[in-house]
Amino acid sequence: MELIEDAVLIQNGTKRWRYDNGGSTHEMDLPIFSIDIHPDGSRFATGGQGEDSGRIVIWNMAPVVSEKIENDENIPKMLCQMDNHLACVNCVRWSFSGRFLASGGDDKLVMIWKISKYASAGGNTVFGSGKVNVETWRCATTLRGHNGDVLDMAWSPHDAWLATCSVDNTVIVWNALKMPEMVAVLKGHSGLVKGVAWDPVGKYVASQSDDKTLRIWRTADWQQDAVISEPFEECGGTTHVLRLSWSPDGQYLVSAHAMNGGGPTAQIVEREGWRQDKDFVGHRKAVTCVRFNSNILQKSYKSWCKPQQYCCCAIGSRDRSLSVWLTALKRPLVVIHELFSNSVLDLSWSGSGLQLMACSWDGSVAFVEFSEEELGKPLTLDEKSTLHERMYGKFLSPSARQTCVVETPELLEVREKQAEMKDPVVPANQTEPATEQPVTQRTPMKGPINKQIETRTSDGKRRITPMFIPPAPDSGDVPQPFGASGSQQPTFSSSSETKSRIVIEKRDDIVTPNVSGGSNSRPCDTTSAVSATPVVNSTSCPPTLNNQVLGQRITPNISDGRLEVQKVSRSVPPSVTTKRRIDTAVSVGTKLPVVKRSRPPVTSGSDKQLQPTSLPQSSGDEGLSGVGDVDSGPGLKLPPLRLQNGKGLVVRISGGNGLVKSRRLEVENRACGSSFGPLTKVRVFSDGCSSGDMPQWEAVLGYPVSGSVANSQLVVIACEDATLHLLQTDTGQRPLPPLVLSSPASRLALNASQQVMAVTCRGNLSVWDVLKGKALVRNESLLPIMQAEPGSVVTILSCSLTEEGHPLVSLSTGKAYMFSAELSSWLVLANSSDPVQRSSAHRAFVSTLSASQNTGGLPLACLQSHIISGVSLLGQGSSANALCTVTFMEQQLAACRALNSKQEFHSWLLALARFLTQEGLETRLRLICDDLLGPTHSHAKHSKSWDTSVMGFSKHALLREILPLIGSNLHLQRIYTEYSDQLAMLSEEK
Amino acid sequence: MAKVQLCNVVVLDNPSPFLNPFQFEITFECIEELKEDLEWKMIYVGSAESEEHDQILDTIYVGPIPEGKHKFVFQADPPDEQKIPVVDALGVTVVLLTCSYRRQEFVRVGYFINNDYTEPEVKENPPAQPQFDKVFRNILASEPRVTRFKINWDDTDTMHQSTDDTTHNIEEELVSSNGAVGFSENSSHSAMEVM
Repeated sequence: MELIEDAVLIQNGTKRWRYDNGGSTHEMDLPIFSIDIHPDGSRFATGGQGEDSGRIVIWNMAPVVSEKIENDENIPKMLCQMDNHLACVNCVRWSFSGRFLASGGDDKLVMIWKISKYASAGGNTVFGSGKVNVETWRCATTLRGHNGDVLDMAWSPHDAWLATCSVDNTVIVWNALKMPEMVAVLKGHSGLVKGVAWDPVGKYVASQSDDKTLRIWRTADWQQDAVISEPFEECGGTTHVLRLSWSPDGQYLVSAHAMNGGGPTAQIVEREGWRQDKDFVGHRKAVTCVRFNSNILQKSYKSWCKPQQYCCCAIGSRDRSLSVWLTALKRPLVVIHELFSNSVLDLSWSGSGLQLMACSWDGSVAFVEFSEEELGKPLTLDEKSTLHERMYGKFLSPSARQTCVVETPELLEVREKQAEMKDPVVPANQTEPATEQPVTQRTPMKGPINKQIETRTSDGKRRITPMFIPPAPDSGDVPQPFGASGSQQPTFSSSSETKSRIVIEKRDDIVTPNVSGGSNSRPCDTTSAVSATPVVNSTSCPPTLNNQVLGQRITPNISDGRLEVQKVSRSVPPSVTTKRRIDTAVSVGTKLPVVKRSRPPVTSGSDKQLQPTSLPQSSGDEGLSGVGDVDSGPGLKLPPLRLQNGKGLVVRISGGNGLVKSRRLEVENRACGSSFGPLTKVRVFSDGCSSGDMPQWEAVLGYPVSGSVANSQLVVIACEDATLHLLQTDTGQRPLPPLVLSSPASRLALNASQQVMAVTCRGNLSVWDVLKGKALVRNESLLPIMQAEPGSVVTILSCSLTEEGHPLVSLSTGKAYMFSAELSSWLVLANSSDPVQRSSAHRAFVSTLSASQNTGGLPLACLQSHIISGVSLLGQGSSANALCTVTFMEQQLAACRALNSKQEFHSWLLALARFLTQEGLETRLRLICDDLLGPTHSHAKHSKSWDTSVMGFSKHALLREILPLIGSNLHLQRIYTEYSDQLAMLSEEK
Repeated sequence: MAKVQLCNVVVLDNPSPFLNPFQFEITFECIEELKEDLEWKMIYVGSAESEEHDQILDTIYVGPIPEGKHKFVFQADPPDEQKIPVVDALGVTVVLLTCSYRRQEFVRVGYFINNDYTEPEVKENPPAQPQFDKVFRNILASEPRVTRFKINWDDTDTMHQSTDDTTHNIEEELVSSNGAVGFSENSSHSAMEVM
């Protein structure tokens, strides 16, 4: 791809540039969707459609600016082309630091690029295209999160965040310091989001969508601050993008396509109350993009006594024209009509503010240069930040959200401690985004760097471990300004007379190739044939070899992407050759319609790997088959317990009293016969003994066993005659005679307090306390919780019994229940399809309890893990709905109380406090604190109405844990001080 | 996105006698560690007339491939002259390099080759039966023809196959029912663009 000047000079100072595709002029010009000038003005990036992929190109800016440099063939125009996006690139944006380039495309991906230099010299080409990449830009991070095409992006001031918007109706805010972490997903738009822009002081982010609204979101809590819809009511979704922009002084937000009196406008939204009474009028078709010059400008007009400050804004439209406005003037500074032959799609100002570039659907780029007299004198950075400070206070620091003054020194201490506890890796200078992934840094030994290693696979083929070419140590990674002088086009050799100089180390090891070809069983050929139009980067000139005009051509055969060689008569003059070539191509195409190559089979060894290992269907799986398949009779029908092979089972019993080791329960149906029928043998061995050894005890049962559970105290055996036998694990004695179930058992459970639960095939649940010899739950039906929607099947995923004897049931519907005998009712403990839970952003606030702990200690987590599907909610960490989060967390607390799960209660309480603190929900925090603090009057100690503990935790101790959390939000420092003082007072009284 | 980009191919030992092995120095860049090996093939087109005379000179596996830039030499023995039709022994033909990942071909590079005698007397009066020991091979290295194909680089499909577990299945059902929310409008996108 060459940057070639199109012969048209539009206006004085305006040049027009065209993309050119690899020398062939027949191809349609590929649209350029986005353009962005590097902050240092040395390069610019374009993004758009490539031949078969999305394409990003980084260009040298100097040849665009200067004609002399342009004509110097030694100075490269294109610096790097990246065809990594699978589909059209809709947006490219440089970070403010200039170190990163973000790109977003139709492939739903956002990629972050940084420059890298390879140690080994030599050029890097877009192989086969004849283009040379002078620079190497590599993808540092890929951000996956959008479910649709990414249309626009914006880096926040100081590169703290990156906002991306998509046709999936969302805006995602990414942590630019810790890619690929998502900070928030802004949901609210009901149509494709086509533009996103940050407030220059970092307090808001705005987005414009096809849903005919513009929304403004607060960065403090990522909630929506305003919806503006009136100017957009008459808009149709006729633009590819709606790139809105915020003025550098923060006072005005200018939208893309709006309507006023039937004509297209760019709406001006004032920061003050989001007033919308001004607009830019004049374009004849919808406005696609608006871009403010990042400088605040200043000029003394004759009529004004003192210099006035104003902003400058460029507007591009579907009417193919470009207008530039100064906020100090009522009329546009300049309008360039018919700049392109199709819609303007993006605009970019250089850092100096005097250069403007625009790109268009027609595949060309325009460059406009202004003089300081025309635009005005830009304020220096210092003047600009002074202005910002005067207007907004000290917002500009990256930690802009801490806008309060610390009132008590004590609190400062708390905050310092917290800062220490927090990630100590985070460096103080946050302006430098740490997109530096550890991934890219773990280079030390990626492969041999001075040789290639060859081994043989079992089928005799070679397997080569290639030589790794290490990147040069990143030298700060800020791309050096690409000067007009100095740099030469790297030479690039494609042929060499010498033989290979790479050392080949041959090893005798026989290895297995690491190929599974998992997709092989599927028609992979068709996928490639259907989805891909092969690209042939071919040059149009015919190959000439040794001055022989051999009439042979390589023609790409589109159907299977194979190169066809065809013979054409030598004597034919060249001009006719082209024609003939086409003719023969057609005739060959008809002659050999399906010459698709069968690919040679890969090694048998790997074919073996391909076999899908289908697990033998174990009979136990039938236990999951649903109730829906049995329609007969009212009520439920659950699958009965059955032994896997019908013969017997082995249950391991771990733990036990004192010295008793682990034991093993063995049940064998029809182990021996008697004259009246077969007998079932039940034996308990201490672990380590084989079946031949002497069991600790043994017993026989007259009916076949269908299932059993056991722990160190009790063995529970369900027989096929619907009886339940209870035996003591130590002795084999029976504490009770067999219990009769109303129907055969379907599920059994047992807890450490010798309580037994049984669910029958008819869906009835009973719990008995064996020690006390009484029923806790009597034949309670599962029907209320297992009502299936017509056509669906509800199955039990798991059944268990808490230590308090409460039965827990989790179902395939994503819900989990506990039966409370006291309330004689089922309680909902979890419901993964509950919209409240699904829109809750609790995950970011829950500190995960260490997995090493016995999961028995986390009954709620255990229960919910069964049914909460692994969907990573998009709203993770988002501020989608604070109320949902609070409600969900309170539900969790109630569930913890019901389950008497102390550890989880503690963790959820802290999570709730953390969330309320972050959201600044003072009232609710006070409610929690009041309860934990209790009465503070002098007779508090005698108070009966207030418990000093909750769930086994001292309330005051809990409050002491929560207070530092509250202290982390300076807005809540009054609460912190108030309660910590009272707490101190109370403990003194004691 | 394509995980592997071909950066460069240098034809080594070129021109060279026909019976010398082929040598290509291939440089490629990988943006994400590959789970499986790449499979490279070198194919010699024996005759322009028919694919029957194509010879696979070699098939190799290349791996493991961590993220980064890599280089290796792909060397393969010359084609079996017995299998080349007499009429096609001299003149222009093609050598192909193909690369596949998970048995899906994603790039194909074609080079023209010119085979000819160098000794003037043989050149003037070519023998009826080609003498391959006198033939020189010249690969037109400056004009590779590169064809790229979009393939599925993900490993997701196989992962689902391997974790064939009932609880997983149930979870997947839940996922799919949940996941259906709000994403269907994507399809309308392509139809919408009217610029």
